[in-house]
Amino acid sequence: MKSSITVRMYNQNNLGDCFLLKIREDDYEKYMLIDFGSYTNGNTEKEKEIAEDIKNTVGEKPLTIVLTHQHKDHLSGFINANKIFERINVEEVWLSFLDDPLDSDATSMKKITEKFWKVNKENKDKLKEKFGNQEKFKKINTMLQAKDGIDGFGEELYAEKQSGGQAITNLRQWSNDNIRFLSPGEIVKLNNLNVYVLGPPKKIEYLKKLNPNKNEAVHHLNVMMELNHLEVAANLLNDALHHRRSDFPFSDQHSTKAKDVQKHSPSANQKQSYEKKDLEWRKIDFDWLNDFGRMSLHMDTLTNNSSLVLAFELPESKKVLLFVGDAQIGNWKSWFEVEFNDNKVKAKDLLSRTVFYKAGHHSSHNATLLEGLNLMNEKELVIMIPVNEDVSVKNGFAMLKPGMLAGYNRKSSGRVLRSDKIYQPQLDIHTESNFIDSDSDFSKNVIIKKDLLNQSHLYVEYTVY
Amino acid sequence: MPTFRKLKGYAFDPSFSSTIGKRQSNQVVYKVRWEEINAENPFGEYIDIIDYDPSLDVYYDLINLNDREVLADHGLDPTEGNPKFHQQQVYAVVMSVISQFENALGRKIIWSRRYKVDDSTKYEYISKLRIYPHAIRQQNAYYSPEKLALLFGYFEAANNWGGNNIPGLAIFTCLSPDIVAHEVTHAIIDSMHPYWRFPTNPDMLAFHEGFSDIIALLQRFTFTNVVEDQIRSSKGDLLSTKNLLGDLAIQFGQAISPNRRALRSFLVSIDDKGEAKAVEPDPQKYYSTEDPHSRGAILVAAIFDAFTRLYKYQIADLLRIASNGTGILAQGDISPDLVKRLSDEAREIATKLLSVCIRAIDYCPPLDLTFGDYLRALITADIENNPDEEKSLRFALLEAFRSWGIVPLGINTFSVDSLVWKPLDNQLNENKIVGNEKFNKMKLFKQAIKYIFDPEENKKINSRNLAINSIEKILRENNREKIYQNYNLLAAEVHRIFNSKFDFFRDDKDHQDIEKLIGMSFNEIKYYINSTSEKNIIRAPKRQTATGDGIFQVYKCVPVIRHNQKDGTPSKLMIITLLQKVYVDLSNSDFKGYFPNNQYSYRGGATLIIDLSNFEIKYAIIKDITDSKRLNSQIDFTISSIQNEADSALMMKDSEPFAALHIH
Repeated sequence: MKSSITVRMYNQNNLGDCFLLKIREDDYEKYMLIDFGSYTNGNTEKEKEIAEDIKNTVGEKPLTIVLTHQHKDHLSGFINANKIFERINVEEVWLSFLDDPLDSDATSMKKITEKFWKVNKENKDKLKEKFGNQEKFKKINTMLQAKDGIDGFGEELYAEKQSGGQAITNLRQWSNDNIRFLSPGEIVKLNNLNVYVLGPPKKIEYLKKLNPNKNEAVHHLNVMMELNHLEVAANLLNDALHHRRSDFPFSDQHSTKAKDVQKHSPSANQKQSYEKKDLEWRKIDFDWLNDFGRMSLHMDTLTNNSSLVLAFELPESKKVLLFVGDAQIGNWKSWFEVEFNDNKVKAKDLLSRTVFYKAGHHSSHNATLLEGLNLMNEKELVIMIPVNEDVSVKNGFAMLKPGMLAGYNRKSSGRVLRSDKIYQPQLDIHTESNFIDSDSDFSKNVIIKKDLLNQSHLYVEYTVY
Repeated sequence: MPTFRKLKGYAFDPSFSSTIGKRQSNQVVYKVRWEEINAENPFGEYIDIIDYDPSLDVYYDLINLNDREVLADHGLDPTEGNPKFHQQQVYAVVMSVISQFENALGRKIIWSRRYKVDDSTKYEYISKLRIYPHAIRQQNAYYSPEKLALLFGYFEAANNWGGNNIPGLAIFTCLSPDIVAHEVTHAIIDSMHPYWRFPTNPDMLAFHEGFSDIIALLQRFTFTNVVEDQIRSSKGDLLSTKNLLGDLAIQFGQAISPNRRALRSFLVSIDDKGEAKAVEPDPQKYYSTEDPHSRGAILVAAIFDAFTRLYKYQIADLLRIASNGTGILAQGDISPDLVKRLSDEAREIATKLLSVCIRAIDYCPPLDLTFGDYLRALITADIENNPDEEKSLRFALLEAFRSWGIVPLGINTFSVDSLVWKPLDNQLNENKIVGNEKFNKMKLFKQAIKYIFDPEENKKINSRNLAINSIEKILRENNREKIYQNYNLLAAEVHRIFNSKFDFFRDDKDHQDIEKLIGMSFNEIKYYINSTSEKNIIRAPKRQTATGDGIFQVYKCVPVIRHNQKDGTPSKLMIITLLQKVYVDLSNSDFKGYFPNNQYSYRGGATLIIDLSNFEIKYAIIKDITDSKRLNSQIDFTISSIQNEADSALMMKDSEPFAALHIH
């Protein structure tokens, strides 16, 4: 009996995840696609090229699709390459329990999230209508873009469609609604191979923890409360933007419209000091809109922590391949408390047997728990980073920090594969670190395929036996 | 000239006190120090209220504090429906807090200076803090260092709101004295210690928050009728959880920002029956809590713990008298006389505590503050304030801080003696500097200080330095702008003289004693970086030239006259803050790639307190720039809080640090 998993990391020329797994065990063969999306808009051609390649690879065989969490850089391909996927035999879709309509925690979170997005959408429309033409508005617009990855008020607001959005609808259609919702503690059997579900955490306070810190903080607010506050904040902004009550907050007699302030109006002096040319730095015209940026950022990090985390365990060798989506620190920390039903396995064992790690959140510094990385099997560890330096640099993301890369390289003795740059030990191109001391076994198992235009590579592939 | 301008106002946030019992004590009269109000200064010389509401693009009419109807009846009646009253309330609270600081510090508050718009090498004097009572539409209020302004929010109470709110009603953060006092305290601390805004360790933002809460909470005790009410209803058990303490904490918690709930959870816990219960001090929390609000709440809890200890101690005799020696009061209401006496005790403690908490700010290092440093500052301030041990606060503070786990690093015993900052001579003895060395270096340095500050010495030398002149002006002058100018002149002069003295020590191997004293260095510094690799020594290059402002900064130079609380003896002090910045080159370390150009700007320096009666350095409070350990933990902390640039921009971490801190 010989089993193996081949992991193919597609290069989307963009920031985003797309991993095709081929699981083999004697005659058993199984394909699995984990996430498919790109961060910036207009990457449709590349996504279609990749989808075609997936289709050609999988052929008539059944495919399982895993969506770790609902962020654009993990799902846009499922929307843009719809036509191609319709012709693939999608057998099953795996989502986390947070997407399960029957899970009560999940549905209440979802409900409130949807309420939030609805109000937020309304707010953004109003914002554009009210201030869209103003020069100063650009600042706010930039803040919003940063999180939406689109031109502020573009046609497709993925952010708004995140829950129950188009991607999920497509996945449901392709699989004839054959959806499997996974919770931590579950073990899925694929022939003899075990897939352990580690995250997202059931205890929702873990979803909140975003940044790695030395000591574990005690959190008083759980995610539901966080979401509540977000919704309240969105509603407050909504009230402010619509101003439906003319007597709010004071009746008219106490105020004068700025444009109606005349030379001898009671507020003439006030207006004069407020608008004084050399005191412009003290004006507050747009501060009341700043909540937009904060809210979307907050939602973004909460979503990252909702990632589905899977550990694939090869039957005989017991080697583990770890896929973490964009799980951040809270998610990681929760694994150590997970108990598996019919198995004595603990997260710590799984980590210590990990020989393949899909770097979380495109290797940003807050997406890998150092204690977790340290546990992994350094003799064989291979790390794949789906990342794009251009996009990351352009957006000022804290990804690919040399310290982080050095840590990966040190831990894996240089066996680090990036989606945007091919690893070539003899050229030593992608890192200045001197830890690279890669064994020949590694490169033997790496396959690289050129893309259609022969300009760069389409994917890099590595097999764990 | 009248002494006070009396203005009616709320003592608590009106939206949380709509029950009959509380309404009575909620209306109080603020006694604001009288100042001239005119067209130029409609809200006096310290603040400017601009009531522009950008979401509606309207101006609310401003109150004229000189109007007959305002003057005749202690201001407008408290009401939520009139923006003029809101301005009156904000004015009263802000000016009360400013007065408390000025009284405690013995000098005028001068707001943070600002780089000039057209010339970024020059500073500009800003006379007034700007206040926008209706600036934003959020459950938030914040101090904006960038605008040198306080922005208050208002919003419609939601249906699912907790507390005593009615859905649809407007809630105004500017009507909550707690919030107003909290925000103005941020602005005042920032004016005194601008480098405390930059978090180099987990205590710094927490301190800003916690200290502002302490000032806000202690405000309550300035109103006789509020304290008496509480004492009456609690039968003397002023600080029981059911009463004042719990009440304060719950109101604070309910009020506005969800983050402020942290305070409640550190002072009071609610049991299954919904009863408030005091939280037992837990020394572990200081080590396990990182979020600035919760951490700040630990500081508040420690101060209130001290308050409780003092109150119980000081009223024990009164209770014995009132209970025929049993210490247990009879059933029924307590005597009005006892209420008055207990309230006096509570207010006396609160006033003293407030004063010491504020004065301690002067005894803190200019950067990288920790709670432990603040405890040492508190002890030092209390000794300065009240050298006699009787009725001193320091033992209560000591016990309270210890029970909350706040213990400064590097002290041998947890006692007053080891906590008080050390005079200079002790430190020199510890360094075992003997003979000619000590004579040469220290003598020169002391001579410099004497030369700068001693008028007699100055006369001898025949070239009168400008410092003496500025000191006289600062102590005499009433105009804040002129005081500001003289502060600058004084700092420049002190810098000039120090620089020429330091020049003498530069390139001299034997001057470590001076460096230890001032926390700075004038040679190449070697830092040891924790690392798994061998490349663990990095260097900050030697600063090239001996002259020039870049090498070190005399950030502040403040003469103060303080009066001993007990017998009124005045003492004259000079507070000098020295700062130095080096760029540590991290390109050969494991921290490569985390900071722009691989440079980490690392600061050190000291606060020197000079006794002007003998021109000795009484205390030297040092953050050593050569300290590798501090550098390591600072870099670790900074890296663990790095965010994506885009995210930082969204949170406005750089431009509005307090806005981001207060929300969500």
